[in-house]
Amino acid sequence: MRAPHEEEASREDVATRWLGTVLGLAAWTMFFVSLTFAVGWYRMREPWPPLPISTWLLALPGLPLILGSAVLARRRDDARRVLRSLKVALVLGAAFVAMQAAWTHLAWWNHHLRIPDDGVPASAFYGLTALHGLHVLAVLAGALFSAVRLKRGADVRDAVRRQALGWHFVSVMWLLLFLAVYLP
Amino acid sequence: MSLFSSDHKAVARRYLWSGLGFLLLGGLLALLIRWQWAYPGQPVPGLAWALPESRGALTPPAYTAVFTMHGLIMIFFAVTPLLFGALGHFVLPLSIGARGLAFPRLSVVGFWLYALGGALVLGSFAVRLGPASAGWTSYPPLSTPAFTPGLGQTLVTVAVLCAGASAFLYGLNFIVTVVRCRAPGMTWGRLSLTVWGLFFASVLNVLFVPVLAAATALLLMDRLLGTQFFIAGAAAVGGGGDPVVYQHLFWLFGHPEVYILILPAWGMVGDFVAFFSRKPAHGYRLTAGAMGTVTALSGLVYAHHLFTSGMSPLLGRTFMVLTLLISLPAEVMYLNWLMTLWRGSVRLTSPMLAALSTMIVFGLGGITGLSLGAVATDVPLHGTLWVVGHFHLTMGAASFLAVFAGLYFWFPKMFGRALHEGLAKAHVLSSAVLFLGVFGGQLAAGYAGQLRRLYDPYQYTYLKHLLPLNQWTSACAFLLGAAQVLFIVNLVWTLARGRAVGANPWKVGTLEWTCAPSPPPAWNYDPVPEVLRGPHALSQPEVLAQLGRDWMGQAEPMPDAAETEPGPVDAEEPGRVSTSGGAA
Repeated sequence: MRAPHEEEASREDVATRWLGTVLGLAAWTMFFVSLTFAVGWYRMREPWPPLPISTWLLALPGLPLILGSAVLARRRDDARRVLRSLKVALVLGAAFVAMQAAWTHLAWWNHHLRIPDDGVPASAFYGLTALHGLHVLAVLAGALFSAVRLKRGADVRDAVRRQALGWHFVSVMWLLLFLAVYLP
Repeated sequence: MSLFSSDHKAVARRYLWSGLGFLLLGGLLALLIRWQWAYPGQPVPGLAWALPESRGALTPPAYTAVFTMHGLIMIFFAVTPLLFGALGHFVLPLSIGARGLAFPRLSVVGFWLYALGGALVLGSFAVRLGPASAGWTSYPPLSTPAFTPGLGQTLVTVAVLCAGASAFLYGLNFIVTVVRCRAPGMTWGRLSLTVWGLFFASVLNVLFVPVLAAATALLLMDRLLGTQFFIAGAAAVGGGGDPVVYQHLFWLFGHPEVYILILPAWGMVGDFVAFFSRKPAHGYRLTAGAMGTVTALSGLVYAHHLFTSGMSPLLGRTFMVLTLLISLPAEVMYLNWLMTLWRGSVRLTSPMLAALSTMIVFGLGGITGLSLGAVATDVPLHGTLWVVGHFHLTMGAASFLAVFAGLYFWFPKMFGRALHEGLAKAHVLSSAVLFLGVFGGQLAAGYAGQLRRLYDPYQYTYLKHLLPLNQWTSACAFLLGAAQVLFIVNLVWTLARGRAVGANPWKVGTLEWTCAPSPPPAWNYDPVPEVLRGPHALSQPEVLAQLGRDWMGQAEPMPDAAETEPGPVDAEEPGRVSTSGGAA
């Protein structure tokens, strides 16, 4: 079904979707705030043992996230350049996911930081990394979807603008994760 | 393709039928609890097929599962979906003059997430060890695998996550719809109070459902992956976690949730007392503002659920003050309702009776809640049936009656047929009186010290004498269950051969009644109405003089508005009501 006057409304739809994305992501921040609250509670209860992975290594995945934010934040009108920034962002996102996977792999197999043996700190390290990683994967799926649509000739500039917002969101939430869980 | 239609009215109907189904299931579970408290351990007539080993008697594990599922189903799968899913989806776009929701496809996704959750809930009854049985709050460590190992608990936890996701999505959808999709001229000051209630409740939904999602996600990881967030006691490994963290997160969501369940009800009561007193809502702005103040405060009071959890007394005192503060805006709103009724020409239609019943049961629920907001009185009352009676009066009885107020009011618009007024009134009145019986009985038993959730309270000597009280309470509950037949008969009969109604059977001025037929077409309005006044332009002297009726459409221009100046006589007319606010 199409609305009788949908053509006129298409511009307005873009603004509506933008508002929905802004409000939705802003509200969903509460999810990570709650996780941070929980970790903060445990950290106040007893000293937080240092994680077996160096803090510098744990900070490294932030780099592709911030670069990706910068790449997507620039608004481009030329379809070829939009596609290129999407591709760069996807590579950066894959690098982030790969690094997070590598650190958790190293912590589990090489340093024997285990669930449930190592209690809450290990649970928070793996659990919250995974929850954040799922959000990153969702954003990456959106970017991939846009890239495919763009290749097929669709106009995805507004969608990419909203996905950039999602990217900024996971970047900031990663910072929260870093402060709450990764910092000794 | 009606099952996947993204028309907001079709989505609303889907929520309506599934919500009513779950309301029935939750109600039957409640009757089982009441049976157990009246005739502990005796076989329930007709339940032998489900519990063959005990010949139909509730065993302790079955009883635990029953009260857990009663609460979960009522809150997440019956009352919220009926208030937001059914009434909200149907009314909100129509009332603001929109062609639909801002994100129609999102509302379909939301419904199917809810349906998935509902399927998991139903499925959980069939798995080994039964459904969830850690209380509706799923407090750890009881809800961790050490104490509730069954698959049912996991399935229901996922189901709650699904219901939460759906609530987040429609909350977001409603907010954006109200902000972006109002008809021209529909200023914020001209929204109906129902829309204000739904809007504020949606704000709470999007802010606090993610908190529930976080708590539930951590709990699920504890159950499935062996993480230690909430594990304590002998099952803990590596120092264990802390169950109290879950309590904080849960109630940071849970307390706003009770306002999520009551704000739409308040909005409807505000509108209906105006509509059926044939008067503008008294202090419209103050009422909307009071609802906003309650919304703002509701996130700051949650720890009154934790007074006995070992929290710092300083925090306890802070949360007590904040909690008691919230009754001030609530009283402002309540007084505005009473002032609206005052000297109005009250029409006791079925929606009005339901709204008045909502006011009464909510008022009693609110007053009994004061003793739970104050630390000194909460400590002895905590965990008793007093708490159960209190919150059932507010979010059980009041929300239930408000759902039916809304349903009786908008049913003609939804289906183009009028329910039988006599049956509807009988249903509302009998339900309201019996609600007072059931939850009044619980308050009395709780005040006498009966703890909630006890399998057999009479194992305690000091509770033995409460058996007759509980049996009377249960009798009221069974009658309450029976009274619902009045609604079912009415519903089936009306859908089959009810009287067809015109566009505006209640003679009120809001857009859905004055600018659209019953039921409205797919795109609601063509053209979109241009709104000229507020929702409660009732008994306006100039309208009476010029049109000879006591109501006027929100988008209806005054005949010869430019030429005829309202005469000075009108202003002096005796009995003229204040038109400030709602009529503007």
